[in-house]
Amino acid sequence: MSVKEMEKIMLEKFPDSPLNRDETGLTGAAWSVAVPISGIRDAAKAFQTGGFFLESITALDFEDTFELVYHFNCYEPKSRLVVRMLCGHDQVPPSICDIFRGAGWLEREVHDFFGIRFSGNPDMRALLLPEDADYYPLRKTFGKVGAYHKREEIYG
Amino acid sequence: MEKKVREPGEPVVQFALLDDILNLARANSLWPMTFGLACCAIEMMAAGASRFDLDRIGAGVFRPSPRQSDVMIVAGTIAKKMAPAIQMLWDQMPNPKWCIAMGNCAISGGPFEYEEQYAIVPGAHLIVPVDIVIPGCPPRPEALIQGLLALEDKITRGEGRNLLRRFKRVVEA
Repeated sequence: MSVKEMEKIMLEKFPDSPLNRDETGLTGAAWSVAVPISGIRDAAKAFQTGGFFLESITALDFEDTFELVYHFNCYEPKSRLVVRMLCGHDQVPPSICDIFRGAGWLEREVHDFFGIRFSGNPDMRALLLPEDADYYPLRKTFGKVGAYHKREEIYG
Repeated sequence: MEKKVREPGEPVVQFALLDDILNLARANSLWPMTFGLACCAIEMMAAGASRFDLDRIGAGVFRPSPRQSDVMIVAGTIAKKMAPAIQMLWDQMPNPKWCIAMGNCAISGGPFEYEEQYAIVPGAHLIVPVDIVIPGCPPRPEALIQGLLALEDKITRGEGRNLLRRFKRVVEA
């Protein structure tokens, strides 16, 4: 399925969500869409039926919220697509490891570094950190980090 | 009477002359373990290959099993997840055994050791007893060869007693 068709599906599924196209190609992704926390499984299913694969899951820590970033891609040129999802510090996002099997380890990695638990992932043991680790190194509150801002302050 | 403290791995009954001969043999046929952790391992491989050729000092027989090895060259950064595996490899090696900490990471954590780092073990001496340290980032193969020669001298208890030493020091007139 092409990027254009995928875009149409996303606009149908999430009519309220902003979809940013990147005409310049500088970001490496054709477009990115911000979905609500309840819509991530729908989006992942659409990408799965569209023949896309999951490239990475990562997160950003802001003062007011986490932002999870999912990268999808397929074996066509310039077809990396991004799904962004805001997730509060106390919220539990749903896992997509039953849709994309490879998501299990990526979610474990995010849990290691940010302390975000994914509901529905059967295995949330530490993947890269020691088993007894009780710290989340990529949170902005870890160590000596001065830059801790709200999301609007950075994205405007 | 002063009580002599026995080092771990040292035999209970010692025969001075026989031990010297055995140590001479041990020192000049050090078998390292095939085992590398980071970029220092590349230099270790270069030291084992034909240009530098560790076989000249009898240390080129890299064994694939810890049970056949005499010396463990800790070549690289020790991640916290890797430390139990290194400890197990060390425990599997039969006595007598020696350990070389190669490179700044294996000595003290190197560039990865800073306040509130969470990923590495700062120094091989924290998990295994280290005999020789070779500074460098990474050390050149010549440095590894010198480290192995220093280990030989340690095993034979003195450079002068290492009768089979392949490289004698040049005495300047």
